[in-house]
Amino acid sequence: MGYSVLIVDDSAVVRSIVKKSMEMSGIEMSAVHEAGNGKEALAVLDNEWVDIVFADLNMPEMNGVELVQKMSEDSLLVSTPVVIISSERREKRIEELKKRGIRAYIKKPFRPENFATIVTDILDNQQEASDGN
Amino acid sequence: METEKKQDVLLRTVMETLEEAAFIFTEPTEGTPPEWTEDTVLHAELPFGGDSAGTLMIASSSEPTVELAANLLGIEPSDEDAQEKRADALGEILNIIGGIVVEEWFGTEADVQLGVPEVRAVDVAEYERKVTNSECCFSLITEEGLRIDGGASTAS
Repeated sequence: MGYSVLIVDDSAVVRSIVKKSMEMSGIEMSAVHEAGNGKEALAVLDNEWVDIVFADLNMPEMNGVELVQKMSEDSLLVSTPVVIISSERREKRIEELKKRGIRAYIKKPFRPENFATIVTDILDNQQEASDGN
Repeated sequence: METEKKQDVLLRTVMETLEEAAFIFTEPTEGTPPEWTEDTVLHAELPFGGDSAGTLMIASSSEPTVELAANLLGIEPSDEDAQEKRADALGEILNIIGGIVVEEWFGTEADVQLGVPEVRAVDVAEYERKVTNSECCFSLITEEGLRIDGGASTAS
């Protein structure tokens, strides 16, 4: 069994980079879902079990902040870890997102080894939390 | 920040980002840049707004953008995907550059939000008009002797 992953970014290039970074980090994936914006991501989350969401901030139709907000209001999605991957560096924005429950904020460009450390920690903690329940 | 300093930040950030994220090594053009090799260039524009507003842009002929896409994706430039995703790759590299430039120009405390990059092919003449009207601009040359240009303007 591997993890089911959702990658949300309007850039197909970034979605490929994130997918490749997951593969390089050695984390086993059972499914990789992709969405071009927050709206498409919610449609995927309505139909598929997802263990972790990687989302950009600036996207057309529904941005990453709105996606995080919608997920935090849904009892079925509130505990799904969200990692924001963005080129935005505003401290205020990052703090706001952390308050809304995102698990990590990765600034672009990122190194695959840093990405692996962050994601492994999140998935391990998530596993421990679900084992404890 | 003075225009000259802004220009230095922009130039350094573009060169470092191309090198670190996409393994494209460039040098600033000395004197008159070489002629564009095609009638059109691929042009990406990234708006930003909030406490300060403006636009960043980057332009390139085909070859460097195919290399850019290939290097970002970890595939060969001959791969069909590199050709197909070159516009997307140019928009993404500008997005990364934009995040760093805006932080250095205005600081992390400023409320300056990046928009979504728009990428399209434009006539060289149209591009030249755009860059002439920029507050600051850069012109780089790749190891293969090809041009990557761009600029930025701020409204306030």
